[in-house]
Amino acid sequence: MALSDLSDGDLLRLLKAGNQEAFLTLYRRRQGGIYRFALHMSGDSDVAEEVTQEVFMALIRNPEQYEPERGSLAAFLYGVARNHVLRQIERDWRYLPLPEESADEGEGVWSAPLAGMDPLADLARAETIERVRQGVLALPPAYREVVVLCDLQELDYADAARSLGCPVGTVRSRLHRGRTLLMQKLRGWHQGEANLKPHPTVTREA
Amino acid sequence: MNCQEFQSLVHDWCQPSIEPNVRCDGLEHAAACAKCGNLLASVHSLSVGLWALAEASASAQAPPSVEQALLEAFQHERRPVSGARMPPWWEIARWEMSRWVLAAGAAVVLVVIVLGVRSWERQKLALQGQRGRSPVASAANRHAAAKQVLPGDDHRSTPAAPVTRQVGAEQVSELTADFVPLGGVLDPLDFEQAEVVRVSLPASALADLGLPLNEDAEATTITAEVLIAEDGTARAIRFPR
Repeated sequence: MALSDLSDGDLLRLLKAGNQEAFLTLYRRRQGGIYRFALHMSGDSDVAEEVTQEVFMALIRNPEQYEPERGSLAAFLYGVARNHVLRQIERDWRYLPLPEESADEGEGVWSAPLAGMDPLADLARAETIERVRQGVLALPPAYREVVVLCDLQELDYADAARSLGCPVGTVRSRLHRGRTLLMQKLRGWHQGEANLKPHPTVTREA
Repeated sequence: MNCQEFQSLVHDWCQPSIEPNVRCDGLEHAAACAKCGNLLASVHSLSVGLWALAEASASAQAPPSVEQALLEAFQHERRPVSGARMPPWWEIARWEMSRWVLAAGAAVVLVVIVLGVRSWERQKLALQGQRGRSPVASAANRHAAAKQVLPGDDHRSTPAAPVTRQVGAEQVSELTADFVPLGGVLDPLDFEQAEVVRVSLPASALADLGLPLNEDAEATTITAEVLIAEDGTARAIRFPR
Protein backbone atom coordinates (compact mmCIF):
# COMPACT_ATOMS: atom_id res chain seq x y z
CA MET A 1 0.00 0.00 0.00
CA ALA A 2 1.35 3.42 -0.96
CA LEU A 3 1.75 6.09 1.69
CA SER A 4 -0.68 8.29 -0.20
CA ASP A 5 -3.40 5.70 0.45
CA LEU A 6 -2.96 5.90 4.22
CA SER A 7 -5.19 8.00 6.45
CA ASP A 8 -3.94 11.09 8.22
CA GLY A 9 -3.86 9.14 11.48
CA ASP A 10 -1.70 6.36 10.04
CA LEU A 11 0.67 8.87 8.49
CA LEU A 12 0.94 10.65 11.80
CA ARG A 13 1.86 7.40 13.54
CA LEU A 14 4.62 6.84 11.00
CA LEU A 15 5.72 10.43 11.40
CA LYS A 16 6.08 9.89 15.13
CA ALA A 17 8.29 6.89 14.38
CA GLY A 18 10.57 9.11 12.34
CA ASN A 19 9.30 8.25 8.84
CA GLN A 20 10.20 11.22 6.67
CA GLU A 21 8.20 10.03 3.68
CA ALA A 22 5.08 9.84 5.82
CA PHE A 23 5.61 13.42 6.93
CA LEU A 24 6.14 14.52 3.35
CA THR A 25 2.93 12.78 2.24
CA LEU A 26 0.96 14.36 5.06
CA TYR A 27 2.46 17.77 4.37
CA ARG A 28 1.67 17.64 0.68
CA ARG A 29 -1.85 16.52 1.42
CA ARG A 30 -2.64 19.29 3.91
CA GLN A 31 -0.34 22.23 3.20
CA GLY A 32 -2.49 23.71 0.42
CA GLY A 33 -5.55 24.10 2.63
CA ILE A 34 -3.54 25.57 5.48
CA TYR A 35 -1.72 27.96 3.16
CA ARG A 36 -4.96 29.14 1.53
CA PHE A 37 -6.66 29.55 4.88
CA ALA A 38 -3.82 31.76 6.08
CA LEU A 39 -3.80 33.60 2.77
CA HIS A 40 -7.55 34.33 2.87
CA MET A 41 -7.30 35.37 6.48
CA SER A 42 -4.28 37.64 6.13
CA GLY A 43 -4.29 38.66 2.47
CA ASP A 44 -0.51 38.31 2.59
CA SER A 45 1.40 35.48 0.94
CA ASP A 46 4.40 36.01 3.26
CA VAL A 47 2.20 35.54 6.30
CA ALA A 48 0.57 32.49 4.71
CA GLU A 49 4.01 30.99 4.05
CA GLU A 50 5.18 31.64 7.58
CA VAL A 51 2.01 30.27 9.13
CA THR A 52 2.17 27.11 7.02
CA GLN A 53 5.72 26.51 8.13
CA GLU A 54 4.86 27.11 11.78
CA VAL A 55 1.88 24.74 11.67
CA PHE A 56 3.89 21.83 10.32
CA MET A 57 6.87 22.66 12.50
CA ALA A 58 4.59 22.31 15.50
CA LEU A 59 3.47 18.93 14.15
CA ILE A 60 7.08 17.80 13.81
CA ARG A 61 8.07 18.97 17.26
CA ASN A 62 5.06 17.79 19.16
CA PRO A 63 2.73 15.46 17.25
CA GLU A 64 1.25 14.31 20.56
CA GLN A 65 -0.62 17.61 20.72
CA TYR A 66 -3.14 16.20 18.28
CA GLU A 67 -5.82 14.14 20.02
CA PRO A 68 -7.78 12.02 17.52
CA GLU A 69 -10.83 11.82 19.76
CA ARG A 70 -11.27 15.59 19.51
CA GLY A 71 -11.63 15.71 15.73
CA SER A 72 -9.85 15.30 12.43
CA LEU A 73 -6.21 16.17 11.90
CA ALA A 74 -7.24 18.75 9.31
CA ALA A 75 -9.42 20.53 11.87
CA PHE A 76 -6.53 20.45 14.34
CA LEU A 77 -4.13 21.91 11.78
CA TYR A 78 -6.61 24.66 10.88
CA GLY A 79 -6.91 25.45 14.57
CA VAL A 80 -3.13 25.80 14.92
CA ALA A 81 -3.03 27.90 11.76
CA ARG A 82 -5.83 30.10 13.03
CA ASN A 83 -3.91 30.84 16.25
CA HIS A 84 -0.83 31.81 14.28
CA VAL A 85 -2.80 33.95 11.84
CA LEU A 86 -4.64 35.82 14.58
CA ARG A 87 -1.32 36.47 16.30
CA GLN A 88 0.09 37.81 13.05
CA ILE A 89 -2.98 39.96 12.42
CA GLU A 90 -2.79 41.33 15.93
CA ARG A 91 0.90 42.08 15.51
CA ASP A 92 0.72 43.54 12.04
CA TRP A 93 -2.75 45.07 12.02
CA ARG A 94 -1.43 48.55 11.38
CA TYR A 95 0.54 47.34 8.39
CA LEU A 96 -2.35 45.57 6.70
CA PRO A 97 -2.97 47.19 3.38
CA LEU A 98 -6.26 48.90 2.85
CA PRO A 99 -8.51 47.00 0.49
CA GLU A 100 -8.40 49.73 -2.13
CA GLU A 101 -4.61 49.94 -1.97
CA SER A 102 -4.12 46.22 -2.24
CA ALA A 103 -6.32 45.77 -5.28
CA ASP A 104 -3.33 45.03 -7.47
CA GLU A 105 -1.35 43.08 -4.90
CA GLY A 106 -1.04 39.33 -4.89
CA GLU A 107 -1.99 39.17 -8.50
CA GLY A 108 0.16 36.12 -9.06
CA VAL A 109 -1.60 34.19 -6.35
CA TRP A 110 -5.13 35.39 -6.90
CA SER A 111 -5.25 35.58 -10.64
CA ALA A 112 -8.47 34.05 -11.81
CA PRO A 113 -8.29 31.92 -14.89
CA LEU A 114 -8.77 34.29 -17.80
CA ALA A 115 -8.55 31.81 -20.60
CA GLY A 116 -12.26 31.67 -21.21
CA MET A 117 -14.00 32.20 -24.50
CA ASP A 118 -15.41 35.62 -23.55
CA PRO A 119 -12.75 38.10 -22.38
CA LEU A 120 -15.36 40.50 -21.01
CA ALA A 121 -17.04 37.77 -18.97
CA ASP A 122 -13.68 36.66 -17.68
CA LEU A 123 -12.84 40.21 -16.72
CA ALA A 124 -16.14 40.57 -14.87
CA ARG A 125 -15.46 37.31 -13.10
CA ALA A 126 -12.00 38.42 -12.08
CA GLU A 127 -13.46 41.65 -10.73
CA THR A 128 -16.07 39.71 -8.78
CA ILE A 129 -13.40 37.46 -7.30
CA GLU A 130 -11.31 40.43 -6.31
CA ARG A 131 -14.26 42.16 -4.67
CA VAL A 132 -15.19 39.05 -2.74
CA ARG A 133 -11.59 38.67 -1.67
CA GLN A 134 -11.47 42.25 -0.43
CA GLY A 135 -14.85 41.81 1.24
CA VAL A 136 -13.65 38.75 3.11
CA LEU A 137 -10.49 40.53 4.21
CA ALA A 138 -12.55 43.45 5.47
CA LEU A 139 -14.64 41.26 7.77
CA PRO A 140 -13.83 41.24 11.49
CA PRO A 141 -11.58 38.23 12.23
CA ALA A 142 -14.29 36.37 14.18
CA TYR A 143 -16.55 36.35 11.11
CA ARG A 144 -13.75 36.12 8.57
CA GLU A 145 -12.46 32.84 9.95
CA VAL A 146 -15.80 31.06 9.74
CA VAL A 147 -16.45 32.35 6.21
CA VAL A 148 -12.99 31.19 5.14
CA LEU A 149 -13.29 27.81 6.80
CA CYS A 150 -16.88 27.00 5.80
CA ASP A 151 -17.24 28.76 2.44
CA LEU A 152 -13.73 28.77 1.02
CA GLN A 153 -12.16 25.70 2.63
CA GLU A 154 -15.48 23.83 2.65
CA LEU A 155 -15.21 22.47 6.19
CA ASP A 156 -18.48 21.33 7.70
CA TYR A 157 -19.80 23.12 10.77
CA ALA A 158 -18.52 20.43 13.14
CA ASP A 159 -14.93 20.53 11.86
CA ALA A 160 -14.99 24.33 11.82
CA ALA A 161 -16.20 24.30 15.41
CA ARG A 162 -13.31 22.01 16.38
CA SER A 163 -10.82 24.25 14.61
CA LEU A 164 -12.14 27.36 16.30
CA GLY A 165 -12.76 25.73 19.66
CA CYS A 166 -16.38 26.81 19.89
CA PRO A 167 -19.83 25.18 19.65
CA VAL A 168 -21.42 24.39 16.30
CA GLY A 169 -24.19 26.86 17.02
CA THR A 170 -21.64 29.64 17.34
CA VAL A 171 -20.13 28.72 13.99
CA ARG A 172 -23.56 28.79 12.39
CA SER A 173 -24.56 32.16 13.83
CA ARG A 174 -21.17 33.73 13.02
CA LEU A 175 -21.39 32.40 9.50
CA HIS A 176 -24.82 33.96 8.99
CA ARG A 177 -23.62 37.24 10.38
CA GLY A 178 -20.42 37.15 8.34
CA ARG A 179 -22.26 36.47 5.12
CA THR A 180 -24.74 39.23 5.84
CA LEU A 181 -21.88 41.68 6.43
CA LEU A 182 -20.19 40.50 3.26
CA MET A 183 -23.36 40.97 1.22
CA GLN A 184 -23.78 44.48 2.58
CA LYS A 185 -20.21 45.32 1.72
CA LEU A 186 -20.46 43.96 -1.80
CA ARG A 187 -23.76 45.72 -2.34
CA GLY A 188 -22.27 48.97 -1.08
CA TRP A 189 -19.32 48.72 -3.43
CA HIS A 190 -21.62 47.86 -6.28
CA GLN A 191 -23.79 50.90 -5.60
CA GLY A 192 -20.77 53.17 -5.17
CA GLU A 193 -19.32 51.92 -8.39
CA ALA A 194 -22.63 52.53 -10.16
CA ASN A 195 -22.67 56.08 -8.82
CA LEU A 196 -19.10 56.73 -9.90
CA LYS A 197 -19.35 54.91 -13.19
CA PRO A 198 -18.41 57.27 -16.03
CA HIS A 199 -20.56 57.79 -19.03
CA PRO A 200 -20.36 54.85 -21.42
CA THR A 201 -19.27 57.13 -24.27
CA VAL A 202 -16.35 58.35 -22.23
CA THR A 203 -15.45 54.77 -21.43
CA ARG A 204 -15.44 53.78 -25.05
CA GLU A 205 -13.34 56.79 -25.99
CA ALA A 206 -10.90 55.87 -23.26
CA MET B 1 -42.98 29.32 5.90
CA ASN B 2 -42.84 32.94 6.99
CA CYS B 3 -40.14 35.57 6.41
CA GLN B 4 -38.43 34.99 9.77
CA GLU B 5 -38.16 31.24 9.21
CA PHE B 6 -36.89 31.81 5.69
CA GLN B 7 -34.21 34.29 6.78
CA SER B 8 -33.00 31.95 9.50
CA LEU B 9 -32.54 29.19 6.93
CA VAL B 10 -31.36 31.00 3.84
CA HIS B 11 -27.66 30.76 4.70
CA ASP B 12 -27.95 27.02 5.31
CA TRP B 13 -29.53 26.49 1.92
CA CYS B 14 -26.71 24.29 0.70
CA GLN B 15 -26.27 22.37 3.92
CA PRO B 16 -27.25 18.70 3.75
CA SER B 17 -29.15 19.16 7.01
CA ILE B 18 -31.89 21.08 5.17
CA GLU B 19 -34.72 18.72 4.30
CA PRO B 20 -35.89 18.76 0.65
CA ASN B 21 -39.47 19.63 1.65
CA VAL B 22 -38.19 22.58 3.75
CA ARG B 23 -36.18 23.77 0.77
CA CYS B 24 -39.28 23.57 -1.43
CA ASP B 25 -41.29 25.55 1.11
CA GLY B 26 -38.57 28.19 1.18
CA LEU B 27 -38.48 28.51 -2.59
CA GLU B 28 -42.23 28.90 -2.64
CA HIS B 29 -41.99 31.63 -0.01
CA ALA B 30 -39.19 33.41 -1.91
CA ALA B 31 -41.28 33.35 -5.06
CA ALA B 32 -44.19 34.92 -3.22
CA CYS B 33 -42.22 37.45 -1.07
CA ALA B 34 -40.18 40.07 -2.93
CA LYS B 35 -37.97 40.87 0.07
CA CYS B 36 -37.09 37.25 0.70
CA GLY B 37 -36.74 36.70 -3.04
CA ASN B 38 -34.11 39.46 -3.19
CA LEU B 39 -32.38 38.01 -0.14
CA LEU B 40 -32.21 34.61 -1.78
CA ALA B 41 -30.81 36.17 -4.94
CA SER B 42 -28.13 38.01 -2.88
CA VAL B 43 -27.18 34.87 -1.02
CA HIS B 44 -26.97 33.02 -4.30
CA SER B 45 -24.73 35.71 -5.79
CA LEU B 46 -22.53 35.67 -2.73
CA SER B 47 -22.23 31.89 -2.89
CA VAL B 48 -21.24 32.12 -6.55
CA GLY B 49 -18.68 34.80 -5.72
CA LEU B 50 -17.22 32.77 -2.84
CA TRP B 51 -17.14 29.67 -4.99
CA ALA B 52 -15.31 31.59 -7.71
CA LEU B 53 -12.80 32.89 -5.15
CA ALA B 54 -12.25 29.39 -3.77
CA GLU B 55 -11.76 28.04 -7.28
CA ALA B 56 -9.38 30.83 -8.25
CA SER B 57 -7.21 30.20 -5.23
CA ALA B 58 -7.43 26.41 -5.35
CA SER B 59 -3.98 26.10 -6.83
CA ALA B 60 -2.35 28.41 -4.30
CA GLN B 61 0.07 26.57 -2.07
CA ALA B 62 3.17 27.10 -0.05
CA PRO B 63 6.39 27.54 -2.05
CA PRO B 64 8.88 24.65 -2.26
CA SER B 65 11.23 26.48 0.12
CA VAL B 66 8.77 25.78 2.96
CA GLU B 67 8.81 22.07 2.23
CA GLN B 68 12.60 22.09 2.10
CA ALA B 69 12.87 23.93 5.41
CA LEU B 70 10.43 21.52 7.03
CA LEU B 71 12.31 18.49 5.74
CA GLU B 72 15.53 19.82 7.23
CA ALA B 73 13.73 20.46 10.49
CA PHE B 74 12.29 16.96 10.41
CA GLN B 75 15.72 15.42 9.91
CA HIS B 76 17.09 17.52 12.74
CA GLU B 77 14.24 16.93 15.17
CA ARG B 78 13.20 13.37 14.44
CA ARG B 79 15.91 11.42 12.68
CA PRO B 80 18.82 11.28 15.17
CA VAL B 81 17.02 8.96 17.56
CA SER B 82 14.69 7.38 15.02
CA GLY B 83 11.33 8.16 16.43
CA ALA B 84 12.07 10.10 19.55
CA ARG B 85 12.93 13.77 19.72
CA MET B 86 16.52 14.49 20.65
CA PRO B 87 16.47 16.40 23.94
CA PRO B 88 18.35 19.71 24.06
CA TRP B 89 21.89 19.82 25.46
CA TRP B 90 20.85 21.22 28.84
CA GLU B 91 18.48 18.33 29.44
CA ILE B 92 21.22 15.86 28.54
CA ALA B 93 23.67 17.65 30.87
CA ARG B 94 21.14 17.65 33.71
CA TRP B 95 20.44 13.98 33.13
CA GLU B 96 24.16 13.13 33.10
CA MET B 97 24.71 15.17 36.25
CA SER B 98 21.92 13.42 38.06
CA ARG B 99 23.40 10.07 37.04
CA TRP B 100 26.79 11.07 38.47
CA VAL B 101 25.20 12.37 41.66
CA LEU B 102 23.33 9.11 42.05
CA ALA B 103 26.49 7.08 41.40
CA ALA B 104 28.48 9.16 43.91
CA GLY B 105 25.74 8.77 46.51
CA ALA B 106 25.67 5.02 45.98
CA ALA B 107 29.48 4.87 46.33
CA VAL B 108 29.38 6.83 49.60
CA VAL B 109 26.72 4.52 51.00
CA LEU B 110 28.77 1.48 49.94
CA VAL B 111 31.93 2.83 51.60
CA VAL B 112 30.04 3.58 54.81
CA ILE B 113 28.62 0.05 54.83
CA VAL B 114 32.05 -1.54 54.21
CA LEU B 115 33.70 0.56 56.91
CA GLY B 116 30.90 -0.24 59.31
CA VAL B 117 31.17 -3.96 58.67
CA ARG B 118 34.93 -3.90 59.06
CA SER B 119 34.71 -1.91 62.26
CA TRP B 120 32.10 -4.29 63.59
CA GLU B 121 34.30 -7.26 62.71
CA ARG B 122 37.27 -5.68 64.48
CA GLN B 123 35.22 -5.08 67.59
CA LYS B 124 33.90 -8.62 67.43
CA LEU B 125 37.40 -10.06 67.12
CA ALA B 126 38.66 -7.92 69.98
CA LEU B 127 35.75 -9.04 72.12
CA GLN B 128 36.39 -12.67 71.23
CA GLY B 129 40.08 -12.22 72.10
CA GLN B 130 39.16 -10.80 75.48
CA ARG B 131 36.71 -13.63 76.12
CA GLY B 132 39.34 -16.17 75.08
CA ARG B 133 41.99 -14.92 77.43
CA SER B 134 40.22 -13.64 80.45
CA PRO B 135 38.83 -16.97 81.65
CA VAL B 136 42.28 -18.48 81.51
CA ALA B 137 43.72 -15.49 83.26
CA SER B 138 41.11 -15.60 85.97
CA ALA B 139 41.62 -19.32 86.34
CA ALA B 140 45.33 -18.76 86.67
CA ASN B 141 44.71 -16.10 89.25
CA ARG B 142 42.34 -18.28 91.17
CA HIS B 143 44.70 -21.20 90.96
CA ALA B 144 47.98 -19.42 90.96
CA ALA B 145 50.79 -21.91 91.01
CA ALA B 146 48.27 -24.65 91.67
CA LYS B 147 49.99 -26.95 89.33
CA GLN B 148 53.40 -26.78 87.79
CA VAL B 149 54.16 -28.46 84.61
CA LEU B 150 57.49 -29.94 85.09
CA PRO B 151 59.89 -31.16 82.46
CA GLY B 152 59.77 -34.85 81.95
CA ASP B 153 56.29 -35.09 83.28
CA ASP B 154 55.07 -36.41 79.95
CA HIS B 155 53.96 -32.90 79.25
CA ARG B 156 50.77 -33.73 81.08
CA SER B 157 49.10 -31.22 83.20
CA THR B 158 45.80 -31.24 84.91
CA PRO B 159 44.41 -27.88 85.71
CA ALA B 160 42.64 -27.68 89.00
CA ALA B 161 39.80 -25.84 87.43
CA PRO B 162 40.13 -26.30 83.73
CA VAL B 163 38.66 -23.53 81.70
CA THR B 164 37.73 -24.94 78.39
CA ARG B 165 37.77 -22.82 75.34
CA GLN B 166 36.88 -24.16 71.96
CA VAL B 167 39.56 -22.98 69.65
CA GLY B 168 37.92 -22.07 66.43
CA ALA B 169 39.50 -22.72 63.12
CA GLU B 170 39.56 -19.00 62.42
CA GLN B 171 41.91 -18.50 65.37
CA VAL B 172 44.42 -21.25 64.54
CA SER B 173 46.82 -18.96 62.77
CA GLU B 174 46.67 -16.49 65.64
CA LEU B 175 47.46 -19.19 68.26
CA THR B 176 50.14 -20.99 66.29
CA ALA B 177 51.93 -17.69 65.85
CA ASP B 178 52.24 -17.39 69.62
CA PHE B 179 52.56 -20.99 70.77
CA VAL B 180 55.86 -22.79 70.64
CA PRO B 181 55.35 -26.47 69.88
CA LEU B 182 56.58 -28.96 72.41
CA GLY B 183 58.12 -32.09 70.96
CA GLY B 184 57.39 -32.10 67.29
CA VAL B 185 55.40 -30.23 64.73
CA LEU B 186 52.20 -28.62 65.86
CA ASP B 187 49.26 -30.05 64.01
CA PRO B 188 46.30 -27.67 63.52
CA LEU B 189 44.05 -30.62 64.34
CA ASP B 190 45.54 -30.50 67.87
CA PHE B 191 43.56 -27.35 68.46
CA GLU B 192 40.18 -28.98 67.71
CA GLN B 193 39.48 -29.91 71.34
CA ALA B 194 42.43 -28.20 73.00
CA GLU B 195 42.44 -26.43 76.31
CA VAL B 196 44.64 -23.55 77.35
CA VAL B 197 45.89 -23.69 80.89
CA ARG B 198 47.82 -20.94 82.58
CA VAL B 199 50.54 -22.21 84.86
CA SER B 200 53.56 -21.00 86.89
CA LEU B 201 56.82 -22.82 86.51
CA PRO B 202 60.47 -22.25 87.33
CA ALA B 203 62.40 -20.58 84.55
CA SER B 204 64.95 -23.38 84.66
CA ALA B 205 62.31 -25.71 83.27
CA LEU B 206 62.52 -23.88 79.92
CA ALA B 207 65.83 -25.51 79.22
CA ASP B 208 64.26 -28.94 79.60
CA LEU B 209 61.62 -27.94 77.11
CA GLY B 210 64.34 -27.04 74.62
CA LEU B 211 63.66 -23.33 74.91
CA PRO B 212 66.36 -20.67 75.41
CA LEU B 213 67.02 -19.80 79.03
CA ASN B 214 68.30 -16.60 80.55
CA GLU B 215 70.75 -17.80 83.20
CA ASP B 216 70.25 -14.64 85.28
CA ALA B 217 66.58 -15.43 85.62
CA GLU B 218 67.05 -19.13 86.21
CA ALA B 219 65.73 -18.97 89.79
CA THR B 220 62.62 -16.98 88.95
CA THR B 221 59.18 -18.26 88.35
CA ILE B 222 57.48 -17.50 85.06
CA THR B 223 53.90 -17.69 83.92
CA ALA B 224 53.05 -19.64 80.81
CA GLU B 225 50.00 -20.86 78.93
CA VAL B 226 50.08 -24.48 77.93
CA LEU B 227 47.99 -25.93 75.16
CA ILE B 228 46.60 -29.26 76.36
CA ALA B 229 45.33 -31.48 73.60
CA GLU B 230 42.32 -33.77 73.84
CA ASP B 231 44.50 -36.69 74.85
CA GLY B 232 45.84 -34.69 77.79
CA THR B 233 49.33 -34.08 76.46
CA ALA B 234 50.91 -30.66 76.39
CA ARG B 235 51.41 -29.68 72.76
CA ALA B 236 52.57 -26.10 72.93
CA ILE B 237 53.46 -23.31 75.25
CA ARG B 238 53.43 -19.53 75.13
CA PHE B 239 54.38 -16.79 77.47
CA PRO B 240 51.85 -14.05 77.91
CA ARG B 241 53.27 -10.61 78.27
